[in-house]
Amino acid sequence: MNRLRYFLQEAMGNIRLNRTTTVLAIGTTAFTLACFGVFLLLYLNLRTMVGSLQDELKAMVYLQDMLPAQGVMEVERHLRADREVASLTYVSKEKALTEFMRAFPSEHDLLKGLGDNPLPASFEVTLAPEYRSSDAVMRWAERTRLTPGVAQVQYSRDWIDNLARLLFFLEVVALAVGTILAAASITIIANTIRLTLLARQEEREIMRLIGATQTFVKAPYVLEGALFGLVGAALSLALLKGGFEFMKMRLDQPGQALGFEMAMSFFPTKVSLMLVLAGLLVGCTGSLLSLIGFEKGKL
Amino acid sequence: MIQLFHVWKFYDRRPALCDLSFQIGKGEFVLIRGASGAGKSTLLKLLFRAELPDEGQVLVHERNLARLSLSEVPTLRRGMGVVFQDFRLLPKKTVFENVALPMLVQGKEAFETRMKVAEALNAVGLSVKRDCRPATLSAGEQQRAPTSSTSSRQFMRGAPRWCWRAMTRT
Ligand SMILES: Nc1ncnc2c1ncn2[C@@H]1O[C@H](COP(=O)(O)OP(=O)(O)O)[C@@H](O)[C@H]1O
Ligand SMILES: [Mg+2]
Repeated sequence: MNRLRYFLQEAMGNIRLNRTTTVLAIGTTAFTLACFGVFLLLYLNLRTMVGSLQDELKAMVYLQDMLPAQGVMEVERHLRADREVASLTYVSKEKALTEFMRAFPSEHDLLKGLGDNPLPASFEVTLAPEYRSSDAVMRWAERTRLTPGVAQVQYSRDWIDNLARLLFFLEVVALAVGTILAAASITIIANTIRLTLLARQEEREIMRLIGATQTFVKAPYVLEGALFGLVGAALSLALLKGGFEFMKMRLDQPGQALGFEMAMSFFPTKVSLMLVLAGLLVGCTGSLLSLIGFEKGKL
Repeated sequence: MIQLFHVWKFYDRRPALCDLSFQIGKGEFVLIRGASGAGKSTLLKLLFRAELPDEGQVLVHERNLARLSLSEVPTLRRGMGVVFQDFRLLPKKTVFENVALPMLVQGKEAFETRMKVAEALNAVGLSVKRDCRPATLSAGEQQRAPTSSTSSRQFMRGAPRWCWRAMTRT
């Protein structure tokens, strides 16, 4: 405890020694993590959105026209036996018509002009979660199409796939931007610590003369880097939270509302902690980088 | 126990120590005297391994200092109390903190450190200056601060001040 207090004191002393560069180092770290955090927020929110859309993913299994009740039951039994089908509901021709009328009242005449009800009966199928990838859905649709009594299988997951692609793109961009910015802040932290190292050469020499080990002499500088990272992370979290609340307020304003409700959420605690850890990692890497080989073997 | 066997030390091919051999036993009290430039500081530097001899061996507690690994040197130094000619005080630390530093380095308990440091400062009459910075001390006071910071197992403890003063900037 005694030692830890000493190390902290020394680290704080270092920070006071180079105020300007310290502000710069912490600022870059905060900026880096904030940029990364913006991507992360977008990514996480999009991912939950895609997840909930996938929950609503339904496939329509259209039945052949004029299929007798016996045939409908055959298809139903077949679908129920299918492991990929989580649940299904029968939509009769009549129900399909009422639903259509309700959804598109203006097209009322169009259907009337066609005379008899042209809409086929169908099963609305929800797929089991583990079979919701686009490949799996496609394979399932191909297979189901061949079932006797089935006319067509329809599912629309193109735009979900697009979202998934966007997610992947975001991941790549976040990684690239994160790496570049992290490298920048590591460099700046390393240089800041190099400055304090140079300024306090004589003090370290005295420490060595009274029998301080290399670790003891260098520990305050590692702590200094760690502090940069921690403070930077805390700052970036505050920035992100502020920005997030502001955006949310703007979006919630009537008249600016998007067509659908977007339940945006901030980082869960775990992710916030991870961001802090990332800051710690950046800070420690910076300080270790400046210490590697520095005064090696010096007595 | 300190032993030197045929020790030579050169600076720029000029010898500072020539074929020096002697032995100091446990508990012995020794003064080393010599004109300025005679090599007193050089000898002390060899003893706490700030320098290595060019020829011969220096042994402390039967360990050849030239053979110590880098991690063993701090241990050697913790067993010694050296007062430097230029005091070697940390300017930003108080007198108390400066005196406590060797004990902190050795990982001593905070309570024990406080007790011992207070005792030592008292002994050299610096108790009233404990929270001052070294720069505000007179030369004599500055010298007494590290004197009090020398702790246990110091083979040079008790040596007169002029001997300690023989140390030069390393
Ligand atoms: N680092 C050094 N580089 C070159 N010469 C040195 C160095 N240290 C000491 N000397 C020389 O070694 C000799 C002994 O010096 P020193 O041990 O400091 O003497 P003393 O402490 O007895 O006055 C002197 O001639 C001095 O100039
Ligand atoms: Mg001298």
